[in-house]
Amino acid sequence: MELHHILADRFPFLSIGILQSRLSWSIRLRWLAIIGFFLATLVTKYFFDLSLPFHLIWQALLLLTVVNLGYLFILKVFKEFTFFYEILFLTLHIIIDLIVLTVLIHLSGGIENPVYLFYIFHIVLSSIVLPRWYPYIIATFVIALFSSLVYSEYSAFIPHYCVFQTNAHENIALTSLILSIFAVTIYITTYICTNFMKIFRQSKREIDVLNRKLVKADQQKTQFFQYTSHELKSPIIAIKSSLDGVIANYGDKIEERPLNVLKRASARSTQMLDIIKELLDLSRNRTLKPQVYKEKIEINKILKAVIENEKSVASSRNIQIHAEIDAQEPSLIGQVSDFEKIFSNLIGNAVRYNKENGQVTIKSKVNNKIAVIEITDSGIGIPEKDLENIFAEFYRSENAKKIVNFGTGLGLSLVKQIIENYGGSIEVLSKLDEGTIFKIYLPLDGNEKCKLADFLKIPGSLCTVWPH
Amino acid sequence: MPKKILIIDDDIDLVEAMRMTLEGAGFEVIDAQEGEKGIAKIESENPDLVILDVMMGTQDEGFHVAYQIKNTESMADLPIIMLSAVGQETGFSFDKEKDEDFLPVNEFIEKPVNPAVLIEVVKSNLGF
Repeated sequence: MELHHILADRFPFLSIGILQSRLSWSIRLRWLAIIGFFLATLVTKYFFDLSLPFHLIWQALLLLTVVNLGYLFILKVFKEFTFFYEILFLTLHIIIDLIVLTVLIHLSGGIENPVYLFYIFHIVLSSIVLPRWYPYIIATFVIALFSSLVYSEYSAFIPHYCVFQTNAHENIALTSLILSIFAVTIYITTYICTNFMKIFRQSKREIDVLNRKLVKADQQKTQFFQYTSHELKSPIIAIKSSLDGVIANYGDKIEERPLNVLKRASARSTQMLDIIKELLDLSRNRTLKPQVYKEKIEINKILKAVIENEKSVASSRNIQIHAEIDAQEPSLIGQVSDFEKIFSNLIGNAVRYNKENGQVTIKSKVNNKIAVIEITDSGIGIPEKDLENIFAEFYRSENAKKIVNFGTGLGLSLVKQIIENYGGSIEVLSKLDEGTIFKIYLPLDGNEKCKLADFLKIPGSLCTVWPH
Repeated sequence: MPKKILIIDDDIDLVEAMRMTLEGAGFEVIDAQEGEKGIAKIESENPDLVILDVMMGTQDEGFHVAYQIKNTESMADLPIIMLSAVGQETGFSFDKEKDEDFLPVNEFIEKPVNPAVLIEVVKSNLGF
């Protein structure tokens, strides 16, 4: 943990995920390089009739292919690297690549062939990945490798494969010039890349600090909600109790008009109490993890009970509720009341914001260890501009306010929070005057590591086209 | 002789509201603002039923008072109605059947209490 923190500070922009994708990215690039080099040698051999030790070049490419397969194998087998080994593994990639590249340069003409420009790619990559002055070690290593190759060919220590009969490798002035310019280019590239990365890392650090502050501010907001709602609760309970007490005991002695005022005041205090209760509920769900609860949840049973509850309101407006519920009960551990809140909020809305003679359809099925619950209504719909805000606290769309003037504006925030506490996700699709679809995805037991991407694999998810 | 009801609650306005309803229904109402004084009143006034608020000085003072009443031989049979707003705040619902073993009270009602409900609950716990 400690080591991980130190490393994460040193490479602040790298996470295991990014590194792992970088490793597979490096492997993919290598395939391209191998194929590219191979095709280039083929072209050289058959179109330009240059004499190069093609069999040696191909052997080197074959070796690189085997090495790359090895990398791929290591990556597939050891999925869980520590941070340190990820970096080590990548450094190893770079060093082996540089050596193989040097061999290939030697085999394809040494200093005569500008293929040595490919060293730059490794310089850029290592400058991005490696911290502080380590990229300069790689840069120096590259210059040393290439210089030794050039010098060895110049001093005939190893053979020189002539491509163009320029005898450039024997020209001390030309080789020195090329090597000097090469060294300067390598160092300047390293300097530019590392400097850029320094700025990048610095900004990432600042973003991280700001992010932590934001998270803290959000926690404080939740605590503030909790505290205020709690403090508001006692007075409003006393107010409502007093009003109701007067209405119940002296109602017959009060004239109709003031009595109505009292009754309305009582109804308003109920409304305030509802807001406070939901705020408390919301803030509790923001701070509490559902793992605390150990009840076995029967999603479909709860769904049916909630539907049964809503039927009287629905039938009073001649709204039909259809249920297409799987017989198989998804297994999930949690708290029953959480699921009652989710379903009664969504189904309640589907009924309340529906039209006379409307329809509500509820589907529940299990797909690849994910419970998918879909609630569709033929109601007033949500205006497009409101769609992104409907899960925000106290937000109610204009057309919803017109139809039902009570409502706390907290129901959907609570629903979303609860679903997220269970590792799930909720999405909404709506068309004004035609209706709304809410889709809930809940990872079932043994599927705790489920990510958003997994939900999106389910057919029909994130449907962006309104079904006609 | 009207039945005597003791309300133990630190919110005097809430006590007044309940007193109005209960006296209207013909009960005699006495009150105490904290647990210890409530216990003392049970000894001195000998009420027929106690309405107890769960949260007074602390989050659970009411529970301690309820345990004390049920563990004192002379008071053990006294019916207790517990008022709670806690159900909303701690995430635990006071389902009577589930919590009977661990909470020594006869009935839970959630604040704010509807006057008609209050009278009904009080009567049923007095055996009316």
